[in-house]
Amino acid sequence: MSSHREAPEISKDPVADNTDVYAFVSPDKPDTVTLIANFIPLQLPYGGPNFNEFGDDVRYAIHVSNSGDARADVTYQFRFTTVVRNKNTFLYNTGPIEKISSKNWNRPQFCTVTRVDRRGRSTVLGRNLMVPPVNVGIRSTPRYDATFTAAATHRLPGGRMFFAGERAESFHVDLGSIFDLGALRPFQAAHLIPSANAVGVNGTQGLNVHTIAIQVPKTDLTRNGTVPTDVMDPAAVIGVYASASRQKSRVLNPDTGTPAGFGPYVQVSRLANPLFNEVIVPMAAKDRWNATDPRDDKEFARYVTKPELAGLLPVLYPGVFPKLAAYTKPRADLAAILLTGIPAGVVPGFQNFTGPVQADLLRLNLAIPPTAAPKVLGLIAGDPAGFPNGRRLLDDVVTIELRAVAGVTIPLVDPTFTPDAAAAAVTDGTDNTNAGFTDHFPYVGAPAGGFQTMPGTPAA
Amino acid sequence: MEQPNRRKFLIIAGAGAGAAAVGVAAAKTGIAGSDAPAADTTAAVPAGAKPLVAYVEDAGSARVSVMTGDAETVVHDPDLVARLTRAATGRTA
Repeated sequence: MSSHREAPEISKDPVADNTDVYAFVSPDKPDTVTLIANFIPLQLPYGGPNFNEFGDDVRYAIHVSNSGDARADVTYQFRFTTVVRNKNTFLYNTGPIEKISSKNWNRPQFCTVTRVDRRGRSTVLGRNLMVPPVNVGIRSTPRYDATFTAAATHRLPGGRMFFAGERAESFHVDLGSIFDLGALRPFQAAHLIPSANAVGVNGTQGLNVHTIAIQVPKTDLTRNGTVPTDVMDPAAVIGVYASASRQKSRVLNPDTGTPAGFGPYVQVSRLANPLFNEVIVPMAAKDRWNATDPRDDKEFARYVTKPELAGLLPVLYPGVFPKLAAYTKPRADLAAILLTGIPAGVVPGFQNFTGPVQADLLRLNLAIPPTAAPKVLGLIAGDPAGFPNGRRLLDDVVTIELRAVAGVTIPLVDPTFTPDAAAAAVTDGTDNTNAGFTDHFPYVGAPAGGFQTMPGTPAA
Repeated sequence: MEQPNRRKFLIIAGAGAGAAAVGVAAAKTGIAGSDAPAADTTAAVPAGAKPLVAYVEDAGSARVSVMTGDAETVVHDPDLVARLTRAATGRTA
């Protein structure tokens, strides 16, 4: 979760595994949008000597659709190049890395950022942009955040900003309980296989991801190059997704022990709305979903309008969700939230509708300003600046989506339905327990350090 | 055991002299695009030819996908498929 190891094939290719996507109007620069895509799930901070890094052979991308057909109108591509400075040592660093340009860092990585428009015209926005080292520990990467975050934050032409590197995992979820037959610790006394209620456990605590973040003016993303001010203007809404692609053919060279790629890049991972492929698409279709484009998501719509999880909740929690169990209509609420955006007239004063094309996109209405008092439950808590209007780092998407699937959003499209009382209370009970978010770009907290982080506690 | 005409083959240029020559010839003819005519099997290897992968998913279709760099060209060449098929079983004639 939210898309960590979510499909059989991509779970074997973590370097290309897109874990989360965020899109929000920048709180400190409301004339810009921040787009974040995280990769490489569940990283142990002490995973040396070959620490996690972006793949030189992966083409990472963040796509923006602004014309209603779910095709990418603007794409930012990110390609990485790794250099080994000293070929005679096994060490990641041969001494303290006291600044990003330190020669003690034996394996620096650089990024080229390219903007591609709908017609395929490419503009290189930056070359050889330094990626920071991972947070090895107090000796190798002292004063990590102060030393590396600003140094690896690059200004690009046109008022854009860019950062790529290891950061703290922002997403929180009780992985251990949810995949143990849908247990939610705060409510597990009501589970089909009950145990005493307990507080949630953040399964991503102490783990890092690799973040790609780019901040661009709103004018870079809108269909007409303007700054939207009318929330109800269809042109105010963009759809965002991220992807990772690999070359179609890969040949292992037995002389060097390294692979070579041949052929065009094909998509192996994509992500927009959290948990879409994870808990909506059935296992047998997940790999195909990762390989397809959002504009072709019509074939997956049946999994949205009749979600498996909505059928499981009444079974796993007997007697808790009787109204949900009795609801047999297609879930038009989920189809709107996940596949088309919410049309005007559903939530007063709000819309993020991108048109009738069914596509899993993270839809953001750029005319809605950021709020100084964000609510982690976003739109369902009356905060239209949060998920599912884009997604902020702080949004508790597990709880939001659990409640939506449990029925709290059905009345938006079907006023005759009254949700079960539990639907508005259900949660996995977790909060972010990693480094806090910052108030400026790249916003994602500094990564946990390898030396500083303690391993978890095994139990059987 | 699958029949030979249903097997999938990967021929890597450079892995063997015969395979490399066949692969590069396919790439050359592939410039004409999909379903290009059969290759001239006596053609010389062009200067600067790069490593490539030739992929036959279905020998019965006579289609060869030739990948080099980040490009892919599909050629329709029953003779090339036949020779690749024979080469994959160790027969070069």
